[in-house]
Amino acid sequence: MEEKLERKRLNQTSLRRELWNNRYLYLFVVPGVIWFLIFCYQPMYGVLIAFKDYDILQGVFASEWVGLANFKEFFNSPNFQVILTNSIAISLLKMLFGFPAPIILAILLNEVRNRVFKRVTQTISYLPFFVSWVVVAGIWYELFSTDGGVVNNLLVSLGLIKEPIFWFGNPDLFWGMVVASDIWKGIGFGTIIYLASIVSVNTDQYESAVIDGANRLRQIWHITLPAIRPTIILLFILNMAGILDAGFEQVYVFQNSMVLDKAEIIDTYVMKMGIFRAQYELATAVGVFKSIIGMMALFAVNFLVKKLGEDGIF
Amino acid sequence: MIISRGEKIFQGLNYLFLTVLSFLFIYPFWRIVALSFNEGYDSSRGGIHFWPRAFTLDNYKTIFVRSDILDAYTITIGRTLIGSILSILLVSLLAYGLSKNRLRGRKAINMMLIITMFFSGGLIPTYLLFKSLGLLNSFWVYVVPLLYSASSVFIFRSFFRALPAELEESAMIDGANDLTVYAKIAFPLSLPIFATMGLFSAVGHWNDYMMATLYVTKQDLIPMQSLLMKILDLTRSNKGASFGMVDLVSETRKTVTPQSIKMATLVVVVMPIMCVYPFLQKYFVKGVIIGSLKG
Amino acid sequence: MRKRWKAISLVLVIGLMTTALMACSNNKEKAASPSSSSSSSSAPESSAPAKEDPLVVNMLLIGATEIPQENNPMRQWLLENKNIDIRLTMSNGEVADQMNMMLAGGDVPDVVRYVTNEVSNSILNKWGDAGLIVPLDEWLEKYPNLLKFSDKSYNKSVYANKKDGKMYVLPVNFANHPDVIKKVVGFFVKEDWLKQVGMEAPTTPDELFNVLMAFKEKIADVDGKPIIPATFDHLGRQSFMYTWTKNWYNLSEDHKELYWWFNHPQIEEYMVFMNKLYNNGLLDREFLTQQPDQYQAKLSSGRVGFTFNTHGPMDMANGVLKAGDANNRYVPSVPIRIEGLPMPIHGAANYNGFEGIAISKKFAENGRNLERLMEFLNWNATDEGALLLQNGVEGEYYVKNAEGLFEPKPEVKAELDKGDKSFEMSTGITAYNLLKFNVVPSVTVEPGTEEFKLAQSAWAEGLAVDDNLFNPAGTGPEWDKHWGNLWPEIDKWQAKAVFAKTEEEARKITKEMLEHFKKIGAPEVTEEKLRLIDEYLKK
Repeated sequence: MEEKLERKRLNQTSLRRELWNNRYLYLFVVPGVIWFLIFCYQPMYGVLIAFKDYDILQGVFASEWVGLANFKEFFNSPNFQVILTNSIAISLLKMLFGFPAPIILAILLNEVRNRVFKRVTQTISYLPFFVSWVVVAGIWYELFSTDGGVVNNLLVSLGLIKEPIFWFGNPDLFWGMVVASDIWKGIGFGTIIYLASIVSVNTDQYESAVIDGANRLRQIWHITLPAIRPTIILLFILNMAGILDAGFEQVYVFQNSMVLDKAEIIDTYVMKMGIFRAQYELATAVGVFKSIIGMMALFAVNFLVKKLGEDGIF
Repeated sequence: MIISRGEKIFQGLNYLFLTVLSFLFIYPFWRIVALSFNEGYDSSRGGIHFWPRAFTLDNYKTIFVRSDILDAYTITIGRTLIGSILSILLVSLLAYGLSKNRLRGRKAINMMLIITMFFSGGLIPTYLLFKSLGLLNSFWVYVVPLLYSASSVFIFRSFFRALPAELEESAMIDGANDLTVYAKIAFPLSLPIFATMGLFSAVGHWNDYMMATLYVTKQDLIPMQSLLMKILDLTRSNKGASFGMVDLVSETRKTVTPQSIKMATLVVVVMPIMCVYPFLQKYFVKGVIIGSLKG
Repeated sequence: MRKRWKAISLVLVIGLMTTALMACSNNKEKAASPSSSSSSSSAPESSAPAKEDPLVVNMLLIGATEIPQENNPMRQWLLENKNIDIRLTMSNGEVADQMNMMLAGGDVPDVVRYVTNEVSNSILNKWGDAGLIVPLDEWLEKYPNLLKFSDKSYNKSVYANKKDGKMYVLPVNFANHPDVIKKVVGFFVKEDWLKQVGMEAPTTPDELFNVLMAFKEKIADVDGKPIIPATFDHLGRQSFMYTWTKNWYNLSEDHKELYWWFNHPQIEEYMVFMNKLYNNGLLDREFLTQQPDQYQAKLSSGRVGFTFNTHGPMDMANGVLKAGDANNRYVPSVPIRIEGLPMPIHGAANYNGFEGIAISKKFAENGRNLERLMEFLNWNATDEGALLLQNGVEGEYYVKNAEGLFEPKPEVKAELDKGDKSFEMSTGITAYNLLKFNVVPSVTVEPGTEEFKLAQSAWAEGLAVDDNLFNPAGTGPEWDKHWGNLWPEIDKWQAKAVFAKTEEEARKITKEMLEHFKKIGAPEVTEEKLRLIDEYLKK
């Protein structure tokens, strides 16, 4: 009995001592936690709007509970299958092609020996990131126009095609255009974070690899890639959260009536429905739906990754 | 060092490829610059590809002649500097704490962060929160709500975890505490990621207009982006009956159109922030290893 | 390492200094602008005609995109001559969202002017329900001038609060009023091309076909690029459909039958006609996909023969073209119509105000605020008031010309023509015409290009006076549920029908379209609307 008490007292003291030893860590962490509580958790009651018939005057809590009615309305909308398919397809295609692209570019940039060329190219590559989607769409539409657009002119004069291709009038090409323009816009900026990892690699490693007779490709495979592997995995997992985010702003400006069958995504649909009502239930319900799917995707990938022996998000 | 033939070919191809790529990246922007120096009416005919055809400075004049441009720049620069520096500092500290296994409650906090990636309150609850915190129509609405984000924390944390543990161990043995280890070891070694995240944060602040749109009505408190959007709206001649009296043009040819102003505003917004990366690039170097770590 | 810390600390210092600067300027601002309640609480102390403090009005404009710079001559003039200090702020975001946020927060500025539509009006009435703003009925009675462009029954159906029947909003801006309305949309045709092929502007679809054919055969390439006989944007396509469907809705005389433009039986003929145009190479292939800039480029390069548009972009195109050759221009063209079918309506005059003014309870209950504000608004409603607020003090920017009409002075005209509103913003004119009233009959020189003036006669037939029945009748839950899915649908089908290889195929596709509409809610919406009209008529 006395032993237990003694142990308890010892535990308490060692707890206190532990806290004191790590006091700085807690100091670092506390402001963050408070911030998240205030700015993320306090408003989170708004998620309930998805389950209610929201009346602003009454407030979220007093508004009438309608359960899954808003969700049902969304799932029963006439185009639901189409918009879901489009959202997933565009999102997955972007992941498939758009995720590796900055990695490859980062590696290529890293291989450049001439420092001036490297710096200039890096800076130029992240320019498209700053051009807004509205302007990008304008540019792309003009480039790919059937009425004297540069791309068609080039292809015809090179003899590759006989007639101009109606790039933006063909639904089957839409996904390709969206993915391509997204890569173009984001690749340069995306390389920055990979370059940050690549740079931390010790040059000794490269030197000893050369001594061991490894060529360029093997060096990249055995040294550079493993160095950025944690970053790749982390960003990939984080990417999963937005699995149903096909890119609202981009798709909205790229849409036109001829390609709507392939161009209507969840977010553009919700926006169009919302214009007439300025009600928040549908948008919130859809947001919850997307978040749940995203969460499932993220946890699934995180689980897989840990199974493969890597560090997950948690 | 002997360079093999294969190596030379690879280098050559790489240079070629990157040059073509650079052209693809820069061309649209080049065109935007050309258009910004071109008379709006003339631009509307199309066909401007590389150089202005009817040179004019009017597009820029329209922007810079305004008296509120100084306020807008101040706000933007202020929030970018203060916002990103504060944010990087706080996020990295939080991430550093979370990267240590000895922190109690680590898993809970991680989970807490992840949940915020998925669920947010929405427009009205957020607005009410800001109102009660006095952030409406205040400069701090641009800074405080944007201080942290879950993904930034995770990115930093990942980099901190990758740092060799021996460095910290040997420093601790020498009597250093967490603060010193963070400041003198973790930070210098992670310079590239600090630079990267700092850049991301700065760009986010620079480009943001949403906060002003939703939470600010005092016009001397709006950032550059918002001001430029306003200028754009002003020159829309086909707003038709928006002003009760129909918006009417006289016979005089104008040089400025909504589209040409849009080009100039793009340049005005992009140029300054574009210069930040080259400036930061020198921080993308290997961190210096200090301390008494001996192999 | 030292250097790095130095650099960082330098940056931090700069950052802190900037904040300090800003905080100071904010405080200065606060000191200079006492809140409305404090300043106007100096209510009349005694019967002495001592000058009251200026009435300070903090006014928020939602959905406006321009307010003048803070210290402008007009504001000064109003302060000195009308003893009123109007401080304008504006909100940059979506009207409905902004209004909802204020509703949730329980806080509205002294005076709010917002863009009116179905959604924002309903939010405004919720403000009324919540007691945030005051009803204006007695003031509207006292100053009938305020509603001189209004219609009582229209206001009652559209603006009045459904619960207590009171008017919480003062509707403003009547560019839609039959006395004031201008024709701003219609067909345009290339004048010099018509002359070249020796034909008149088309008045029927067949004539249009012939004119376009003549263009295709006889007009040479422009700047090395082939011409585009006809092209349309979204507005143009829909308006062209009215040639067959009359308007976006078509209500029978007995109010028993209702068609929308997309499910009107005659829409098949539209599809067939457009299909014919396309298969003969007369219709721009990109008419469904082109971006606004592309469309404008085609217009401004002078390659288009026929289109439907608002005057703005056409003025721009003409500005470019006429600079090279004064005869190279687009002129307004009369509506296309079909014998036996009703005249298409391309514009409708009605009593709809584009914006509305609401006054907060806090402001109104403070002393004589409400009274003084309404006095000011009443003055705004008079011809002299409206004229001065819109154009400035007489003689300063506008002078009477030989015909007795007011005209901007040459240097002012040059400023106005810049098109960037910088003159209006630095002088403050137009901004304080809170009611946005015109002076009727007009006492200013008619602004606008020559083509715009031509349009007033060319498009006259396509202008109708709204029956003030359809819109006031309102909408219901079926509309809310289905409309968003209905109105964009036709473009999808147009894409297939217009590009069909044969006429039969086009007809087949259109029939499928009409069937499709039955499945996605058109019958429910139609039936609901008819019912609402019925109820409205009974009142």
